[in-house]
Amino acid sequence: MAEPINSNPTVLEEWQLPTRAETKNDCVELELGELARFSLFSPPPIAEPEADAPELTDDEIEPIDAQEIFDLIASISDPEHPLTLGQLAVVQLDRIYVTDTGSPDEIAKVHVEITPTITHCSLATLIGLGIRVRLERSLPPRYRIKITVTPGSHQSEEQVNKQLNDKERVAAACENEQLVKVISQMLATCK
Amino acid sequence: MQSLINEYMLDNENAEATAQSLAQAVGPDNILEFIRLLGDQLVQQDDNVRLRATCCLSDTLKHITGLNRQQIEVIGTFLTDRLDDSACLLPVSTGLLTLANLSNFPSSLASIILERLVDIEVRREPQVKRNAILRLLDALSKFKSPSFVKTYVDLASGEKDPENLMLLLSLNQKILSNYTLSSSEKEDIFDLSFCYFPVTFTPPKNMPYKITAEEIKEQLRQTLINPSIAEYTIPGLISKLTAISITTKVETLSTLEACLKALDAGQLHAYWLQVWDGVKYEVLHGTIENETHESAINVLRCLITQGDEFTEVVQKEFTNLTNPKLGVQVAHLIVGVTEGYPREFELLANAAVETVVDGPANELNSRVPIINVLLKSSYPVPQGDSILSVLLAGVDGDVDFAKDAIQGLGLLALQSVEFSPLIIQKLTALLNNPQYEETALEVLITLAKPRSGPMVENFLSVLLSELSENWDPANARILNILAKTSVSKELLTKLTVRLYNRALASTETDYVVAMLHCLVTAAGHLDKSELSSFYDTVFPFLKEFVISSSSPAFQANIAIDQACQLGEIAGRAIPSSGQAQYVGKIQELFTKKTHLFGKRPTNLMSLFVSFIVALDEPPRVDISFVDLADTLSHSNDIYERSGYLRLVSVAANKWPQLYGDVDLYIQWLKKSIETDSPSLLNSLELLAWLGRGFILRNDPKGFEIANYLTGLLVHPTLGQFAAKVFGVLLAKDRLLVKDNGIVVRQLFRQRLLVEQLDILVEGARGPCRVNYMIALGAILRYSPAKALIPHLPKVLPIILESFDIPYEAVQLAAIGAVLVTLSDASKLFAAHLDALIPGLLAVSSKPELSATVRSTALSTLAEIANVLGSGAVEPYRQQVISGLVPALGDPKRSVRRQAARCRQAYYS
Repeated sequence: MAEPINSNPTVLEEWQLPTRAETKNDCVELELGELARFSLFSPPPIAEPEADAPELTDDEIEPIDAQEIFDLIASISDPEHPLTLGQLAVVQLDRIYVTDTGSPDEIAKVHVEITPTITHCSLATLIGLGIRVRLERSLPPRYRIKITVTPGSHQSEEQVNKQLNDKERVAAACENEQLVKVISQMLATCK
Repeated sequence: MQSLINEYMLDNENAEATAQSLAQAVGPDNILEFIRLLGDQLVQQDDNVRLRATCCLSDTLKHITGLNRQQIEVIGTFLTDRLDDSACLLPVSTGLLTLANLSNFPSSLASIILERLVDIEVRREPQVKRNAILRLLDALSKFKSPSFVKTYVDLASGEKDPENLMLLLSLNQKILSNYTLSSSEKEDIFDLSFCYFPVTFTPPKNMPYKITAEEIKEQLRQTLINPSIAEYTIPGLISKLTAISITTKVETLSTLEACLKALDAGQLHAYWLQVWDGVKYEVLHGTIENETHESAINVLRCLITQGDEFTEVVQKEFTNLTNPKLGVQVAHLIVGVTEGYPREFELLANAAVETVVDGPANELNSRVPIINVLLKSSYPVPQGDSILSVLLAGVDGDVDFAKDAIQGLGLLALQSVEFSPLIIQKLTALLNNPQYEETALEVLITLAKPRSGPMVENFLSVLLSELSENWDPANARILNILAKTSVSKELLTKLTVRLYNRALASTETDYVVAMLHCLVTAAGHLDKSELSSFYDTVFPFLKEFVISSSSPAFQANIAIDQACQLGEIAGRAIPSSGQAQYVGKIQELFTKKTHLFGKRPTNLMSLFVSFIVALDEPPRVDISFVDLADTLSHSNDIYERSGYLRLVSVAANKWPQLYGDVDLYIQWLKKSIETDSPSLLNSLELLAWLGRGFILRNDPKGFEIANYLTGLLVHPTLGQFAAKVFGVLLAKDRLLVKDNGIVVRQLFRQRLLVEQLDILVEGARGPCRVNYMIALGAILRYSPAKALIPHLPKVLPIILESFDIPYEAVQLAAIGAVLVTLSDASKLFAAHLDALIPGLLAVSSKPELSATVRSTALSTLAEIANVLGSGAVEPYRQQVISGLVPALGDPKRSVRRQAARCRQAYYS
């Protein structure tokens, strides 16, 4: 195998990656569990859809946010290191921007800025393409995806950005069997 | 005699018996006559005849006793002359072996045989003949002929057969032990053995003699450890350490260790420095995780008997102690080689600590890991004061080293009682630093048992003092830390008493519950033996729930439930001998202070059941189950009811005698159900819980109750209730477990499945299908996957139909059944993908269903692709990919995550 372009990248541990803070209730709650499930005295009455109370009554919508996008793409494998894009800090939470009104009829936008580990990284376009494929597969069709390199992080910034967001070029790349194979390997570690 | 010879020559099958008869006929007196009669045939041109005749002589010799020295010499010379006859080599060797084993075998004959053996091209002969030669050599070895070793080495070299190899190695050991060998002979024997090192033999499947690689390795090792060839073995083994294979290295090191252990002090002195120089790099330039580390340390530990000379050599490596990476390995070396030698450890550790702590302040932090390794020794590290200073300074340094320093403080506290109060204080203070909280907590947990005294004084008291008077979310954090760290009997006892006093002063339910929860979690860390007297400590606390009925904090269901869990833990740990005293306390408490079976039901019944469930004998409390039903009929509160229902189940399972005539009670409940009485639902639920107690112990009464409930499913009004309560028969319950002494027989779920499945499947096609499907859902949910698989063909159509039933429990049970049986019944599911995939897709996009159902459907859909493979799901790929679009925009995050995962599975 050829020598990696950046043979000594800075690596974050899995636990150092940003995660969604779990909303934790400090108070202990009574867990009736199966007692309630089969009790003849538990609401709602029998023979109607049984309640998963917080879910069904709760109309709260959990919008797609930057953390959700980060979770989708952070576990993509780097094409040359046995590490994920999150561990290499190629994708970072604060470089993901989501614009969404929440309306299912309106277009929403996701902008991901990727930060190559070195400024002359020739794999930046491949990584960007992998992220685009992952997001196109995982987001509803109303989302428009934009992928760019972080300003100042790549010596051919403009060229890479153009390549990553040109529909025709992306479509052509996705028809290249060899390329699709590499992207599939990158996405194989996605959680 | 002639006729017997003829018989032997012609009959191959009975050769052994004929040889015995011949031996009787010949005896020692006619042996020469016997050879004369065989004469012509022994020298025949025809190989077969010659071979047969020689075999006859050889086999007959085996059974003749009393041959004199002269006769042996004549026959031996006769046979020796035929050693160059390749066709007859096997019987000739065997015959000579027979003679060599006789007591009056002349040693001069041994020399003659050895002279003739030199001329034989043994390596060209097959295994069996080589084996015969080796056995002959083995027998001749006792005569110690001057030419023996040379002849043996010539003949045995190049042997590859495992059976022969075992013989050869054993013979090598004999020679090394019994012969006075010249230097070149020793080297020859060493070469003859060491050429097989390391053994890489894999026994072929059809090998007739079951010799394993391990047996050969052991035999070889026994040869190589002989001190007489140590001058060759030790350098030879050291040279093998350059091998890349880890297995070879480990094998080399363990052989070297055995070799060194076989040497006496004087012999070891000649080699120890050579070994040290050869092996130390395995430790210094490896890591502790390396598989060779332990083996190398074991080798070096053998050298410690060299005393001061050894410790001086080790100290030469101390220059590396200023290098953080190499220094850690030097510390591992010191700790490893001195295991079992406290004096040497003290000497080396003292010098090492001096080197480590003697450096510029800004470098000391990086040396903390070296100190930590030294602190892991079984022996106390000298200069504790200096170490403590470095570690305390390290805590205030860089984050990474600070965590190491915290670990080091923990290790020092384990070694030194003297420093532990100060260290525990420091660690307790660090709990308030979010960066170090986790590490400090881990270390405090390790100190909880061995340093429980200082922990009570310097940790528990400090944290308890930080608890505010009134409930505050910060208290949850403190109680959580206390729950994790109170893992010793002493700490738990103190914690219980202190929290009890606090709880008495509190009127807030949340606070009391949090304190109880803390105790439940802490007690869960201790084993039964440590909790055997816990009930004494916790009883006053629990008693408060019964007698302080006016305090709202002690009345709430949630508080009672935590108290129940604590009561269960305490009751479960009481040894049989202590139960009488405990029962007395419970009886006194409940009969005087509360009435469990009055008109008004009470949630204290849950506490009562939790107290008694683990007892061997039932408490002497009058229980009328008819009254119990009456009491229960006045409550609709699920938790309040649970205490009574659990009592019914526990009694049915453990103490059915409490019911008197249980059949009568069952009849009474059934009558109440069938007469449409006001307490119909109450009776139905009681019957189900009663059945559950019996079913757990595989009692027929339980299965009769199950039949009764199944029979009710078709009933226009009762059916829906029977369907719902059916799940009680199988559902899991915290209280009804083996740990509480509940009789739980194997296969009770399987029995219920087998008995009810056909009825339920049949009913699910009828007019009351929903009721039957709900009951079937309970069976699917709780039956083990392996038990379900044989029944899947008849259940699968119902599972597929159940996707359309607007009843979540059924849908979850059906999807769950697919998920757990998918990998074992993949062929069956592959044949039904036409219905399964669209069904799951439809469930995943129904907004009226709960997120749990939607995401379970999606994870099952993904699992189908993963288990059945891309070939099986190829026809449905596009359908799934486009069908998942609604789920990708689901309002719930958990559903979207599963949808993305599922889509990925169908793309790849």
